[in-house]
Amino acid sequence: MSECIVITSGKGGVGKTTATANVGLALAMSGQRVAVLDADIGLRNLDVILGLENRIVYDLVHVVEGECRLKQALIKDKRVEGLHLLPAAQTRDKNAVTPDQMRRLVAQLKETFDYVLVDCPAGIEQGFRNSVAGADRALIVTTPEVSAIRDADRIIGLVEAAELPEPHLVINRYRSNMVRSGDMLSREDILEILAIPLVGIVPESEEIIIHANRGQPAVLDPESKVGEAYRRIARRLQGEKDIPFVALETSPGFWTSVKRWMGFGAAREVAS
Amino acid sequence: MPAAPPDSGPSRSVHLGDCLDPLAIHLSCEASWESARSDLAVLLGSDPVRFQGIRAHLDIGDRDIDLFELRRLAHALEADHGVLVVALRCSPRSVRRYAERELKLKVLAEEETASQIPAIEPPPAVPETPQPPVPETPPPEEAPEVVEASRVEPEPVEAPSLPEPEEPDTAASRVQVVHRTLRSGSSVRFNGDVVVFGDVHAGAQVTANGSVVILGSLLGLAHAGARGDDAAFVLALDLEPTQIRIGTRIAIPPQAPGGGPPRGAEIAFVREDRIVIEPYRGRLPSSSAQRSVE
Repeated sequence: MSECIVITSGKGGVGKTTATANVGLALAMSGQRVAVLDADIGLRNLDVILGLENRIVYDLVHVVEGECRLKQALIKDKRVEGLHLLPAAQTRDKNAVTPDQMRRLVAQLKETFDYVLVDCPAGIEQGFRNSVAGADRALIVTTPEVSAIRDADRIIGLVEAAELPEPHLVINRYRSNMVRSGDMLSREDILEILAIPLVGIVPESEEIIIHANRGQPAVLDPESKVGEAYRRIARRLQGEKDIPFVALETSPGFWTSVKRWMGFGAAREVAS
Repeated sequence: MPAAPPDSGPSRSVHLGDCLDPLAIHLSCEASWESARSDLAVLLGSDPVRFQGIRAHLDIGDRDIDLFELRRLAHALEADHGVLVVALRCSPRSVRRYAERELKLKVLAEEETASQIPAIEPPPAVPETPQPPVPETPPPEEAPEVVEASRVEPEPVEAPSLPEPEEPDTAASRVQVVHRTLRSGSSVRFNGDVVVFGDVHAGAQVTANGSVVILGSLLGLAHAGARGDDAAFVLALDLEPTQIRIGTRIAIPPQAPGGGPPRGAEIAFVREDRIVIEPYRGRLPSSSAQRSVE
């Protein structure tokens, strides 16, 4: 049975697009047919994060306005079998699409794909309403900061108002050492405020910037802790239980493995 | 300003015929497309019950309209007002052909709707030449494959369902000059050549029915010969586009943007069915002038 998951946060810059790209890739790597859909019309990013920008010919608005068929606009990721991107239009704005059109589009995608992930734009306006329109459930991304958590709380309310089931939470940019020294909100603090089930904790890491700049999401790097965190999120989304959280594991080799990764060997040949 | 009766305000840009089914809709060429469109929406919205479910004959005169705009209008009329556009009357040949093939509209001869349409300036006569039959080739089902088009051996890509090739007759004489840098999200579209005094950033788009000259760097997308003119070219002082399109071909340059030292002015054009990029040495591609479009 296929499912549409919207990835949202309210606040900008907490990692919605990165999460969408990584979870989408991780689901595809575990054998699912996945479509990732960029709903951030006018400020598209998902294509850049996935490194597929230069292959865009048609976009979501073209599909919705009937200028091309859905299949023509879907960009197949050559690195991972089963991942397809439906990019947003860059030269239009959020009002180019209506929630009804999005609902129809998602329904159409669900006929072909096991998972449809919608990368929601920041904010609570039209872009958000479009993104939740066709969704079956929501993934809320937040960082351990009061502002991000306040916005996440607001978004959870809006998701509930849209009559979606209880959303799941991803805590991004988590620093265990700062939490231990009492300088950062802990997982327990955040869960107490937001009171929704946790589906993943992604550790803070500089590597994510390099991944983003190269269009090579962390999941593609088997050494990456961040990638491992997203792989586990994908497993939990598929119903696996009792998987430990990466960010809470205190492995002394963490930073050394990150440094090892900086050499960045094998992934280059997949660039297209 | 007091509420105007439905047909006094917009009537300069829109005329509706008296007969209701089919309804003749004439969009005047004097008003801009956007204002004609919104005026039409106001007119139809003024009496939604009357117009619901009727068929319409659309007359756009000799306006050389963007084909996507035409489709957008037809969709909007159906979705917002329940008005189904079944036929089109217009002069530009490319629009007529597109309307017939892609939108499945009946293309009307000049006289057929004339009686239902208020008297207007007749559009300048366009000599009618018989079109050779074009074989119907359904566009591929899958997304068009955008292959790396290297500076040495570029790979051409067929773009599906782009507008039909059109003789570059009118485009040659018109030039639009853009005196600013085009940032992400902005786009320029022109029926003729486009010259940009500035850069075209990634995420920005220049679409010209003629050629594109950028006196700056091209990092975004440039589409020359957007009506299918293979003789069009793209010239930039620094050519690092996200994607480049000439006629119906799509290509990407071999290197990731930002890589390597600046190479100086380069020109992209079609040679032997593929897009090639060459250093620009003050000479336009010699074959391009007489290259004919299949």
